[in-house]
Amino acid sequence: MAVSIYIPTPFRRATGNQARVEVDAADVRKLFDELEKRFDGLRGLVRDPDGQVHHHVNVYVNGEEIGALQGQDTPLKTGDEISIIPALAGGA
Amino acid sequence: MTPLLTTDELHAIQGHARADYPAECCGVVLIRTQGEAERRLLACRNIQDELHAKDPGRFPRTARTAYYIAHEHLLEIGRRESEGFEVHVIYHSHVDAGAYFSETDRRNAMVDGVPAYPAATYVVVGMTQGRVAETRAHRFDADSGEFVEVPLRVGEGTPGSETR
Repeated sequence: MAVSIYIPTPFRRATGNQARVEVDAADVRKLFDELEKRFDGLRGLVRDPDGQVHHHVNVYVNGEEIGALQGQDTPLKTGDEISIIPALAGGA
Repeated sequence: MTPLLTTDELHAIQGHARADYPAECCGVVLIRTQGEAERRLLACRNIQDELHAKDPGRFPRTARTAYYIAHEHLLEIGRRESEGFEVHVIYHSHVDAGAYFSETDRRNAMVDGVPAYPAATYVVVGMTQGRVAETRAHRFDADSGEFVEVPLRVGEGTPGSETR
């Protein structure tokens, strides 16, 4: 399943400045496993040591946040677009 | 020199802060300097109240004291970055509070100890009783490792457009 992953500015230091990466993965968890294997710097940035996606990181499959899908068990199919985007948040 | 904000952008941001009071407003100014220079103000939706209603444990604050840019706008920022835009300004308002850069702002602006958008300046609008009291700019200073106040440079710049 070749899927395309969009890497935003905050994570590009871990991907050698690549903004888009292609990966073969059957679901979101395997996609992260593969990404972390390929880009060691991503390890810890997107998921914590227990393998959970950090609270401040949003993961989208074709524009849908994975929390509204099946989390890291969300299946992927060829041509899916994945975006990994840290929250923009703050307050007084 | 590229201004931090154009006069129109400053007015749009302050208008956004007034319109959303007593909730915090939020948005970004994107800039593309390669090819035909272009600026784009994206007034974003603050979904903090929705997050608080769904999960008050994880999101104890309401939109009165916090902002969280909506998913559709995070994705749009990503799409624009793919088109060569950079995040130039990230703005939000403080309700009945000053335009300081809070500890919450600082914590959320960092990813693993590094500023998420190192080229971005954070503009904060301090609102008092529904009116703009002050507007200030803050930026990460690599030497000190802290966010410091910087001059709010307002000028004419290149033509931009507003999206909401």
